[in-house]
Amino acid sequence: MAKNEKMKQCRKAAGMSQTDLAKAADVTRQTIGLIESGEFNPSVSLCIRICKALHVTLNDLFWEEEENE
Amino acid sequence: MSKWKNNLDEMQEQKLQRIESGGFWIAYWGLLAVMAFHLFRGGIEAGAAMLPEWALFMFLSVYIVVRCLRGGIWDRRLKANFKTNLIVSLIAGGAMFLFNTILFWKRFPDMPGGAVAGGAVAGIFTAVLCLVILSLCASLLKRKRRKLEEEPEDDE
Repeated sequence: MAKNEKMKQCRKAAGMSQTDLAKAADVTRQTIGLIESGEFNPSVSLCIRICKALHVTLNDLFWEEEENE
Repeated sequence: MSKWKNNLDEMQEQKLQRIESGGFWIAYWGLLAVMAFHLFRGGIEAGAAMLPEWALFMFLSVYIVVRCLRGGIWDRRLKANFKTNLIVSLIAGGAMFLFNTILFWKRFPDMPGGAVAGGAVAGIFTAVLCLVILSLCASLLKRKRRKLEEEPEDDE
């Protein structure tokens, strides 16, 4: 599974640590770390919570371009 | 293993995992119930004949505890604090008191006082042992969770 660099960049752009984002999305820091490293596939509802916490859309974080698929 | 294509889609995969999980817990508690049933019917002597079943039950228990602790997982609803551990230990001790009292009473029907005393010793021992193990596991869990919740070094 590919790393989710977009999520990491958006989180850093929002000035949030993994712990901050984890608290905002009501998950553990470990979960955020695993999503960013591509080791865990989040459910759609968790994706939405993360997007809301970062004030971005699902496309911004989770849409992969054709070449990456 | 990657040569073997998974024939299930995501929904089917999740459903299969739930079925497997349900099957595991039925087997786990069923094994305990079967062992308890044989102990009731055959008495303490039957316990020695159930060594393989007991070994399997203990292996499953240790497997679940170790894997959960390594993942920083305790329970869906129960918290890893002293109060909860004490309540769980008292319930386990109470169950062992009842179980052993009946077992001793069946073996020595003319000594009900002795049966209750034997049951009480087993119950107290179980409760104390349970509390010690739960406290130790809770302490290990807290240490593991602290490690898992540390920010990665490359994250600034």
